Amino acid sequence: MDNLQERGLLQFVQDEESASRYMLQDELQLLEKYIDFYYELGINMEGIEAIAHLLNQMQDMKEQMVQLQNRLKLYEP
Amino acid sequence: MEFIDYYKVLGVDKNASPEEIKKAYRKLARKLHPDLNPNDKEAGRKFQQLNEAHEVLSDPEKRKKYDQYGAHWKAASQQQEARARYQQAGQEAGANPFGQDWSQEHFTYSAADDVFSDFFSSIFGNAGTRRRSSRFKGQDIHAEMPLRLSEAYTTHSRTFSVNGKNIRITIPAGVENGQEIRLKGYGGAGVNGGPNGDLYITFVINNDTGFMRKGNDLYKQVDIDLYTAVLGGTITLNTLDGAVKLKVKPETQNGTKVRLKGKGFPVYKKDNQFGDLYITYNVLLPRNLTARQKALFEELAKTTK
Repeated sequence: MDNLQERGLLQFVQDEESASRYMLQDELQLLEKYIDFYYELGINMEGIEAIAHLLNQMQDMKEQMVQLQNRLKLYEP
Repeated sequence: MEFIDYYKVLGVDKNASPEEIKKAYRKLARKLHPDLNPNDKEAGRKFQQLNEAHEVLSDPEKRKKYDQYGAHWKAASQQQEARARYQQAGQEAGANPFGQDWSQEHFTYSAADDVFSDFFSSIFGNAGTRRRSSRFKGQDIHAEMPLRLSEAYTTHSRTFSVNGKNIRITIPAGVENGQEIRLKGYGGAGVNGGPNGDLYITFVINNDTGFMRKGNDLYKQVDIDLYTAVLGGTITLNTLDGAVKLKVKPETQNGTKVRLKGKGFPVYKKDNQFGDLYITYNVLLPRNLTARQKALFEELAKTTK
């Protein structure tokens, strides 16, 4: 978990009083994904980092594509 | 459904060692895993098949059973049931334990009876979770929901069904074309006790309003006659929020843009916040002038020289 946090793959919220770390529910889905990659697919931490980066890029590209399609619709029926 | 060769699915020889099977599985799983192939139904289908092949061939007992029964699963399964019934009857009645006369039972096997899921569950039943590695989250489902732009102007509910389940969602005003929402747990069933996948809905918005939409702003070209443009006047414009009266200033040039603040599209999930409406005036020159009108224009033209 520390490794994932250091690599910026997961974010935790620290409770200052109890020093406990908490994870947001949406982050849990990411954690499950990384666990699958590591234990089921045999991908090392560096590979997971690269995959996470590429998946984020893919998502950004997808959103950009939708925006461009919407703008194109202004000029083409 | 035809019989599926698990060895072929994994791309290994029938004599492959457990290590070779695991290696082959991981190599293919890295290509077909749903998280690495978002929105790819074919990859998802192949991954499920791969997963099942691995489930069987990586378990020594299941593999032995699979190797033993192979393509004759149905006949073998029926034989096992008959044997169990016969033994039960023999024990109860004190009958000769040697009397397992299989000739008395005829089993017909038809290739047409081969169904993959029947094959697996008939031999292995509901195997459940053998170890952590056999549990997988169900496949995510991606669906498109058509929506008219006029509908997207207001927050409203919509009911639809996915996999036999009725789902009612509230669509907030201002949703954009191509926008995606996630409904956690409404996707495909989990594998071997894993959690359900998620349902992703992408809105496909068809513009039926006559306005062009750019984000939260709306755009429209409005025709005005020459006389209103030159002398000024009032026009009535239908917006999505109802009719508005617009004052046209005298000497309004063709192509003049006017901004109507807050008359645009609602901002997604922000109550009472709206974009703006931009009107571009298109001044129409008169046609089919009468003789008198033409004469008046000629007189007007003289005054400019």
